[in-house]
Amino acid sequence: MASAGSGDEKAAAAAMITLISSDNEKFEVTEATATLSQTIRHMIEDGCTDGGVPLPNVTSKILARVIEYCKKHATAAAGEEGSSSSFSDAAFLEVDRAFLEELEEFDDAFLEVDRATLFDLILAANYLDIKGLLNLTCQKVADSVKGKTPEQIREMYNIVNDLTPEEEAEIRRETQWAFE
Amino acid sequence: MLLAPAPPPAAQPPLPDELLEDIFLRLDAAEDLARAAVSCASFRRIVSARGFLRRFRSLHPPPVLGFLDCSHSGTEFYQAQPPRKSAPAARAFAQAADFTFSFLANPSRWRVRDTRDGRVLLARTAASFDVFDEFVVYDPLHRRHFKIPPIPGDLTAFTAAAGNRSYETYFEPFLAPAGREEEESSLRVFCNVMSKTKIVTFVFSLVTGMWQTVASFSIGIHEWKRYGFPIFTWRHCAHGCFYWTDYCMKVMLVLDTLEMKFSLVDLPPESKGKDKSIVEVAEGRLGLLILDDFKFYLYSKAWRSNGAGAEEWRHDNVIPLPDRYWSISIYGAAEGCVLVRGIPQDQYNSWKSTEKKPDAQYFTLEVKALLFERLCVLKFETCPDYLYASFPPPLSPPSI
Repeated sequence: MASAGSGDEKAAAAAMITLISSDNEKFEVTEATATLSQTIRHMIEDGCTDGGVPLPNVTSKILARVIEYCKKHATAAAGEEGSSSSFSDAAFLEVDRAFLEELEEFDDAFLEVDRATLFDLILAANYLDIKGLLNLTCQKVADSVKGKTPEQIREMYNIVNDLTPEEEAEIRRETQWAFE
Repeated sequence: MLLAPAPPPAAQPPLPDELLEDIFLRLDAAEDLARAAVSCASFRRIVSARGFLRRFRSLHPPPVLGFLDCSHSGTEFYQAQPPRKSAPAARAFAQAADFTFSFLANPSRWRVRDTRDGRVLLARTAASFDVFDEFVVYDPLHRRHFKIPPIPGDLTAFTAAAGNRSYETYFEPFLAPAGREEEESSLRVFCNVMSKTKIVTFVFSLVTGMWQTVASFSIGIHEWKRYGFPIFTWRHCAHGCFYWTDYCMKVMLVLDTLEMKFSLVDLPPESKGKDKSIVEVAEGRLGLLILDDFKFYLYSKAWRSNGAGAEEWRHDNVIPLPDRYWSISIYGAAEGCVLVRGIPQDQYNSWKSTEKKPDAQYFTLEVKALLFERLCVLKFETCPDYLYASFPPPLSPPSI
């Protein structure tokens, strides 16, 4: 990293965090991006991020996606802080709205992944305590459960039907109203 | 969508229980939750846990399944009919629930006085018409009941001191709304006891097992009653507080259940002589729905504004009703819905010449969404007393 140069560069370098995935891949991110994760924020506050932050529960494939999300949303958070300190005339509101729309588009595109990846993102968001990402991914799964049959739900979650025939008959009888 | 080779199905779900709960809590429809429960043993276990169902109920209002008609000959549950979305759930509820009150020694002496959160409050009439000496809270789905002792005589002695004879004392028992994610043991019952000039509220809590005086209010020389009945006839519940309105009065009586204080709040002059209902409209706002000339007029004001009348009612909306003869009043509200009864215009016209009684069509208005939907069509003689909202079995855990 920057071993020489201006003070600004040093400050920027100091604000970088190294995240290490379960398969030992290193990712350099800004502190602003990393602290969208409450888990990492607490580690930074406790001063235990020197030498990188090992994340043994997150693969490099998933960590790359999580960082992509955090980068975009950290920029958004910085943008919001900037605009809230200035007077909010129509032009600023217009910029805000355009920015929020862009963020929504980003989120929609971000969620275009296969189900296994979506579940891995939920686990990573939960482990790293990234509220926005957990909210987004859980809502995506909930939305895709709506209107589905038990067979379709099993396929979606990739689970076997482990109810005994008697149990299944009983609960189907109890929930007959949900199948009409 | 990326295509990856599908791994073989696993016995264990891909997410831990707490995250599955988080996902299931985001399902709006009870039908989706029920179908998830049929998928596998662990989903069923999560969905049927009481704690989960309490959280689900606190986030999603239960569907309106029908109404109770509580006449002297017995209590009848009239269920939602197709094409209403809740009709299958209502039928399942009607099959499972029991409104015959067969556990009571003499059911004809008991009357339903309130319903809320899957519970029915019954009171036994003593010597006179509206003096109650015993109360029972009943869960019609799980057929469980809990007997509540009479209010001790020394607490109601003020009525005799005011020179009331027993038939001049009016008892109005009602159920306190359940708090968010509340335990069944938090059950509370209120009872207003009215003498000529004073109203006193008692509360029974399952935790203490006792009746206590919690609020009282006097209106000087004016009498609470007209022709032997309380002035404030209609009780409404919104934001966890209670409101009483009257056809003729320009004010409503409010019981703030947090501060346990009564107050009188002015109503807009347009509401006088009209059917009305107090409803929740939005976070922190109280709504007033007035039925007039086949239209609903919606007013609102800030809830808990300091000092009664500190803010005027604001006229928000007019909701026109379909072409029917809207005969009778706005009935009991539940879960943000009010019930109205209409008669088809053609049947109303021919009724006068043929004396053939028209059908009664019942509709609900969901106030926040301004959704007007038909509930059922019934005989003219039906009389809705309490709108009933609940999750059908097995999504309704015992409430007692």
